[in-house]
Amino acid sequence: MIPRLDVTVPGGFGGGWEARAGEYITVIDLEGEQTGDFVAFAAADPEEWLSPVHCREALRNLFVHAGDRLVTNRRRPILEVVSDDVGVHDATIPACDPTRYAVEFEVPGHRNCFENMWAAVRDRGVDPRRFPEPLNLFQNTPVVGDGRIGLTDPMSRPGERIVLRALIDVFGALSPCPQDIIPGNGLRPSPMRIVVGDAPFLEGAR
Amino acid sequence: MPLLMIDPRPGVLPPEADVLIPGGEAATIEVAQGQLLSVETPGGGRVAALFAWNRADPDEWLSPHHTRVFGGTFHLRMGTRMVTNRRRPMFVVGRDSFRRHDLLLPASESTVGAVRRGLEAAAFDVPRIADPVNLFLDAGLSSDGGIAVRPSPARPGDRWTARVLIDGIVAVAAARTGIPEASVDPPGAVRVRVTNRVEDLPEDLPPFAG
Repeated sequence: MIPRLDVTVPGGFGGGWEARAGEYITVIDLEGEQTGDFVAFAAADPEEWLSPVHCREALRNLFVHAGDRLVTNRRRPILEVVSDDVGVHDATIPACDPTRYAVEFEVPGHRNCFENMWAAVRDRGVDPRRFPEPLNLFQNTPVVGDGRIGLTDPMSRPGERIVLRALIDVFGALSPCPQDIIPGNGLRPSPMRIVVGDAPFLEGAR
Repeated sequence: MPLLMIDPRPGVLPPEADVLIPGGEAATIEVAQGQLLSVETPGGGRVAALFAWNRADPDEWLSPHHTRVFGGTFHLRMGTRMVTNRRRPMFVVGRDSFRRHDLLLPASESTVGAVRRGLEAAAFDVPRIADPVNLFLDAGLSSDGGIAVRPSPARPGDRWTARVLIDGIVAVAAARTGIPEASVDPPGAVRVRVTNRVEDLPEDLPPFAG
């Protein structure tokens, strides 16, 4: 497999990606224990996006699993989960953004997933006020107790990956989350790699 | 201002409202800081979709997603601070006979359409109709993340009441949910009250235990 796109995104920063219908998108947690905020838009109309809210309705589950067909805010299939080394991803937590750090942690000016992802897609006609909720790859937010949100670190080990297949032409962004204050990335943001091509990218797979 | 301030501001209290929203429709209602917003299912067994925007800046809206992470809960509970997309509390659940409301599922196309028509009629422009808070929608969660929706067990007269913290425009939809398990056909009415004094609300039913 010869990648059509192969990007390593530093921990805490953001990167853009795109894929044609039928292509495979492989996201690798290079050093392990890292959440990757991930958004995807229909190339034909950036007002249509991968929507975790609508996925919950379609899948009747909080999370995503291998074999799932993920849908857009117009309830159309956009991506399929082909394979998954970890099996634990989050589809419920909004992207960290300037207010996450300024209001909840008293740290204005912290790097954040929303601005990372917005910077990567802003030239494609995406309105920041109509930005989707992210799929948080490898993020671990279990249901604990009586419907409470557990806050823990990802279970991913170095080199573990998830492979998605584009069902329509798509573009998007990936932000290895810069959260270094509360659990989510082992308090140490680390890089992720995203590879797009005509097959899953399995080099170095565990 | 209906709240108990050190320096009470003289002047008239903000206007109250009492609106019965027919099934299939939505209403938009103004609310002011300190007021009580109350949503009731007079006939029981139905879901009411709640949306809200900051009246001074419609780029800020009530967000079920930020509310979940702010409160560390997948469900809306008594005392939950309901925050905006900028993580500022807009409502706090202060009284609730039903005690199980959904923060996870999307609005149906008919709900979005009804809300859009309501906002247009009120001449209030918004950049986005965000995801709703689904009052009286019973979506149970299992430890593997499974979501089990069942017909709303809300009783006639079940009521959810929140203190308002940010002056806002609220939209409440009584449309079909689009979720087969929770659909009622035809959809029943929803009653919305905005009051300045808790004494002006009827007594709540005893807490739902089912």
